[in-house]
Formats: sequence, C-alpha cells, structure tokens
Amino acid sequence: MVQDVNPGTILMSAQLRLLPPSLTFRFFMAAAVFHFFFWVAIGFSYDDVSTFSGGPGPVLSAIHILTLGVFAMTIMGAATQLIPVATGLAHRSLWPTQIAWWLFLPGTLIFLTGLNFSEQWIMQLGGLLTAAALLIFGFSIADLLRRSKVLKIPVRFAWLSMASLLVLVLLGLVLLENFIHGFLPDHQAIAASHVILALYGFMGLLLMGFSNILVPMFALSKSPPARNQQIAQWLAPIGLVLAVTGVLVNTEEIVGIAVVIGLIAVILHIQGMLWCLNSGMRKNLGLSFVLVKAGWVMLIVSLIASGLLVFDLLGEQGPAIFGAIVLIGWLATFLLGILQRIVPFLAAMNMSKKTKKPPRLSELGDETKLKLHAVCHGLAFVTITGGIASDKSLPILLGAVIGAVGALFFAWYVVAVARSYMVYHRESEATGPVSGD
Amino acid sequence: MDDLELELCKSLHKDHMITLQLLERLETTLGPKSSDLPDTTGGDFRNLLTDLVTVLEAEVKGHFAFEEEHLFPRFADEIDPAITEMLQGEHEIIRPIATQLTDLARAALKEGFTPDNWDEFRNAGLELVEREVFHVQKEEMGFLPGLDEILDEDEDRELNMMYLSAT
Repeated sequence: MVQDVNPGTILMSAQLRLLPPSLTFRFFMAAAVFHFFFWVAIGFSYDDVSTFSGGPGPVLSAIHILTLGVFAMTIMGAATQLIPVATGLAHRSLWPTQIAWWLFLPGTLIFLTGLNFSEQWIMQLGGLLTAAALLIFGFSIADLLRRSKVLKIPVRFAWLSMASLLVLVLLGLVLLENFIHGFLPDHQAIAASHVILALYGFMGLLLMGFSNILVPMFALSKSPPARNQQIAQWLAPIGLVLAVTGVLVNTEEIVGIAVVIGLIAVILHIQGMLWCLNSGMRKNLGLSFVLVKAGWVMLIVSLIASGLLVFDLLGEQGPAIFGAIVLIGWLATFLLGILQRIVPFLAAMNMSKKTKKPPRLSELGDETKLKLHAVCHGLAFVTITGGIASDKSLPILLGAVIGAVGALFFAWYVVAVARSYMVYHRESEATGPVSGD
Repeated sequence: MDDLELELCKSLHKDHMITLQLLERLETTLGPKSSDLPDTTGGDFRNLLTDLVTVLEAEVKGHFAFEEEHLFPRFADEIDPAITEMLQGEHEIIRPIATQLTDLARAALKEGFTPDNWDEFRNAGLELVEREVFHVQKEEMGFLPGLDEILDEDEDRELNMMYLSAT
C-alpha cells in the first residue's frame, strides 16, 4: 500500500511552483550565519554550559541562536518552498512570508540580545516580534495544508507540527512574562513543555513529514509503506501529549510511557525511510545522507537520553547532556544534512535558461567545504558532549572552536552556491542559445 | 515514484533503471582513487566500457529520440510545455557528452587509454553521471507518472511496441 500521490512530483511541479530564489535563500543564508554564531556563543559561555539547566543568560541565548536562528530559519525557508511544490498549490500571496521574514530576523536578534543580557523588556520585544513572525508563517503554511488534497501523510505530519508551533509560541510568551511577574507555580514544567513541543513537536513532526517527501525523491524510490507511517503518525502526537502532560503533572512514569511511545513512532518512521533508501534506484546519495542517517541515530539516542533524564539517570549534567544530544546530535546534524542537499538542488531548479548551459550541481559550490564541515561538526559534538559529561570546560571551548570552523566552511559553501546562481543568471542574459559542448 | 500502470511507462522505467545502475558503476569507477590509467584489456573495467557503449547508444539514439518524437509533444499539449522544453533542453546537453564518452570508450576498447584521453573520459563521465541522474530523477518522478495519467490503453500498447522496436 502506498501513499496517494507520488511525492517526487515535486521535481516537475517545482518548475511551476518555484518561489523567487531570493525569498527562500535569505532564510538559508541567515541560517548559515546563525550557525556560526551559535558556536561562537557556546565558546563565550563554555564555562556555564555543563551546569546549565534553564534561565535567561548566555547559554539560553546560544540555544535560541540554534533553535530560532538555524532550525526555525531553515524550516521556514524550506517549508515555504517545499509545501507548495509538493502539494501543487500556490501561496495565495507571498506577503505573509515577506512579513514573517522582516519580523523574524530582527525579532530573533533582539530576543537573543535580551536573553544574553537578561534584559526583560528587550527579551519581551524580541519575543513578541519572533512569535508574530512564527504565527504568520504557521498560518500561511496552514492555509496551504487546508487546501491540499494530496500527500495525506506528510500533510498530517505538517498539521501536527503547526499545532505544536502554536502552543509552543504561546508557552514561550507565557514564560517571558513569568520572568517579570513570576505568576507561574512551576516555571520549570512550562519551560520543559515548551522545549518538548519545540523539538519533538514543531521540528520533529515537520521533519518526519518532509522526510516522507524528500527521501523517496532523492533516493528515487516509491513512497514508504503507508502502514508504518500511519501508525507513527498516531503514536508520535500521543507520545507528545503524554510527555507534556507528564511534565505538567510532574509524573515521571507518564513521561516514561511517552518516551517508549515516541521511540516506537520514530523507529517505525525510520524503518520506512530506510526502506526507501534500500529500494531506491539511486544508491549513492552522498555526504548529505550520511548526516541524515546520523541524525536518525541521534534522534533515537535523544529519546533514550530523555527517558534517562526523567528518571535522574544522567547525573548532574543530565539536562546539558540531553541538550547537546538533541540539539547538536540530532537536529543540527539532520537539518544541516538536508540543507546542504536542498540548497544546490533549488538553485539548480532555478537555472534552466535556454540561453546558457546550466552548471552541474557539483560546480555550484566546492563540496570539499561540506566534507570539512561534516568532520568538524562530528568532532565538535563528541568533544562538547564529552566535556559536559566529564564536567570539564576546556573540551567545550575546544568543541565550540571546532564547530565554528566547520560552520564557516558550511556558510562558505552556501554563499558559493548563491554566487554561482547569480553569475549564471548574469551571464545567461548576455549569451546566445545553449550548446551542448 | 509511484506504481506505474502503463506498459510503456514500465518499459521507460526499466531503461532508466539500467541507465542508473550503469551510471553508479561509472561513478564508483571514476571516483577519487581513479587517477591511474586503467587496464582496458580485460576484467570489470572492460565490461564497464562495453556496457557503457551499449547503454548510452540505446539511451541517446533510442530512448531520447523516442521521447522527443512521440511523447514530449503529447505531454506538452496535455500537461505543460515548459516541462518538456526543460527535458528537451537537458537531452540537448546530455547528448554530446554521451557521444563523446561512447567514442572514447570505443577507442579505449581498441587501444587503451592515454593520459590525455583518460582525463577527458573521467571528466566527461563524471559530468554525464551528474546531469543524467538529475534528468532521470525528473523523468521518473514527474514525467512518467504524468504520462501514466494521459495515455489510454490502446495508445499505450501501440507506443510501447514502437518503443521496444526502436530501442
């Protein structure tokens, strides 16, 4: 049993539904820049990382550079482009995306500044702008999902993700207000719910949905068998709701059950993705899929770590260890793998002018930079997690430096692709018809 | 890539599979460790060159030509001419590279490679892999499912017979 519509139709409808590249690339470029500054921020707060367990300050600011600046930024750019081409529906208007961008970028910068210096009014201003941007983005995606009649499994995952986004944004605003007025009986429980909904709800569920489109498309396979994905689609939100409930009523057993349900959902999902990779016509999927596969492994590890954390089995550094695994190990690894695949892909889809032969994908940017980034990313993750686990600051500083070097290579690659794109279009206007030689 | 209904689409898909398998073999052979001149007198490399000549000739002279003559006009009329223009444009880019590669492979089967034509073969081979894989991806994921929707059973039978005899 397969899904209702071929997910790979994206490749053809993409030609018709491509947005102005400047719109999507600004999100990707910003994500690449924030990625570098995440490592810099970790480097500056290396002494506080292993003992971090919440509260405003440089470490929380660094975490939000990653979650808002890199993850949400990448997701906003990718979803704005991929959902229209996957569903065959056009945005009613691109203004919401434009407004979301112009609110999100300054909002995130202001919010990060406020968090870093623990300045409440700056935090609130930035938080409000960022929340408004995310809600506008969420509603523009919801409008596409509401009209979609195809790709039921990815669309349902996206709906669940948007619902999580709505709740996590509201909880985030409540948390900001609570920093000033202190009205919440249990700030930690709301903060934990915000984290769960952001990481496993908004991002996790959307990535599961996108994977159902992107993995078959790149591997040239059929859609994964629908049964496992449908079961995963039920189990994942049940696990999510139970996890939040367990945290709010402070009952470890409920969170434990949620973790087991989440693990089953994730394993079923990954099994479907591996089925696509094994049965696909294209076997050599390159470095990006090495990162994607590593991300899947770390997703499972992160869920196991979350269970151990709940039952106090991760030691004093438990929250920080879990944070490193879930943020750097899973989400950063997976999203950077996807980003390095879709950036040249979307650029190439926009480079088929009749007047000039388009460059090869590998000519758009030097892939050596991506290899160097991948090595640095892996080393930085291992070094930092080791530093946290052993409660030593120096490895965290070293990991941050290695990560920053890797992020520079990654940003270099993204800029090179954008530059190739601009050069191609400039030259194509000045040349004659395409020739094969 | 959904389940295809029509025999013609299955035939086109089967040829895409053969082409992709060959391209993956070529890509592996031309990888970073392939700087030394290969032995073309026997073994796997000679088999690769022989297959390359056979498959690429069928692809360019049979598969491409058939699509351009019989399928693109129909697809353009019923679905979207911009898509077939893009695919046709890719054929025009791939065709001379495939011809260059088959010429080099034929020469190498007779006389082996010189350092110069080995470099030329490697560059052309890697370019062909990238461009043809991207092209096959587009056809597999959009063009074939589209054809599957617009052709009826009689047209399918007739076109499939023509395709099989042309390739």
